[in-house]
Amino acid sequence: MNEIHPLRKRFRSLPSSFKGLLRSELRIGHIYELTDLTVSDREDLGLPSKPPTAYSDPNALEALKRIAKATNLKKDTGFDVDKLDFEW
Amino acid sequence: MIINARYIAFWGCTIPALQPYVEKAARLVFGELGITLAEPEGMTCCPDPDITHMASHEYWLITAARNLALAERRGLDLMTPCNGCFFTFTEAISELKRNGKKANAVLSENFNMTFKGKVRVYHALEVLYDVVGPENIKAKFTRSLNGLRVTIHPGCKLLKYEEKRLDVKLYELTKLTGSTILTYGLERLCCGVPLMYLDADKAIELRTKPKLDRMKEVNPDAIVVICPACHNQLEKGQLMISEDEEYDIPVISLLELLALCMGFSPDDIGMYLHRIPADDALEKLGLI
Repeated sequence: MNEIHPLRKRFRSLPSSFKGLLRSELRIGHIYELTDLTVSDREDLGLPSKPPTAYSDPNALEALKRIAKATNLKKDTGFDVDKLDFEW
Repeated sequence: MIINARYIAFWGCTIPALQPYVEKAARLVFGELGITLAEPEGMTCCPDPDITHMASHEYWLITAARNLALAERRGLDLMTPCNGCFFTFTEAISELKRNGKKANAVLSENFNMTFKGKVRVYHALEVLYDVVGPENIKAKFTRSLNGLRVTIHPGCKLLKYEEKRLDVKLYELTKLTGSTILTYGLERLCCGVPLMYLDADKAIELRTKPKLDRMKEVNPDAIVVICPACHNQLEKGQLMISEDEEYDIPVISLLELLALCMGFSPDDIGMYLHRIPADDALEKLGLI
């Protein structure tokens, strides 16, 4: 709390629902997991089993981690890119 | 009609993982219209315009910049059927053009590329309505959905860009299918997705349920959407409320309706994967 913004609360950690989404983004590169069932449905429809994005491209996922480090995501959110989880 | 256009199809996260039938319908529709869709190789979540945007603006902006720079490197524009991805890229481009120094420094140092500001991002509705045009789309129709009564949910992020009139394009293209559009008075109310991250019960109570209740009053055969997040929410909402109230209104993407009009069968599209079965609506149309 400070004099200019007396109602401003001190930031502690992200709400848990925010954490889940961000965790998925850094762990799989997308916010929803592609389950085996969905992969099978996609194949039945003649779609590529997995899109050629971070869903199947490890370099794309690695790129997100590098951006997270370069932007100091941990300072803003508590997410530790090496541990792939929140520290706080 | 010869349309020689090529876009990278940016499907986002929700469509490939939860709605493969929308991806399939889109590929069928754009294929029929002569639009080539390139794959979003090496890309990631756009990233999402609500949570990531709020949690770390810089991470959000640079991740979007990387996806955009990948498209630029291939000399192709992006086309997305997702309102959220469209919002992220449109806002990111605007910001990067004003001040992209830090983003380009990170891109250059880590990936040996920069965002040059050349790539354009189109909503699928713009490609359908402005590039192809309703008359050329109708020329590909082999059947009408005459008799289908639908309500439309445009989604907040579609309404944000008033000058683009994306909501009007959604209405016009739905009308083109022969469906009857029913008004229910809460068209502009948010479906509840962003509020779900803060309080799921409140999101359902204040957003999703009032919308579904008003839709139910006009007794539609289906809800038509273009946004995959709204699609998911309006289905999930019905399933979450189902202990107290029965809705059973299937949620169908405009792209599925267009594919049906172009002669594809519900099975070709994968409509059997809908969480709320569309069987009654399809039976009414004589399609199953």
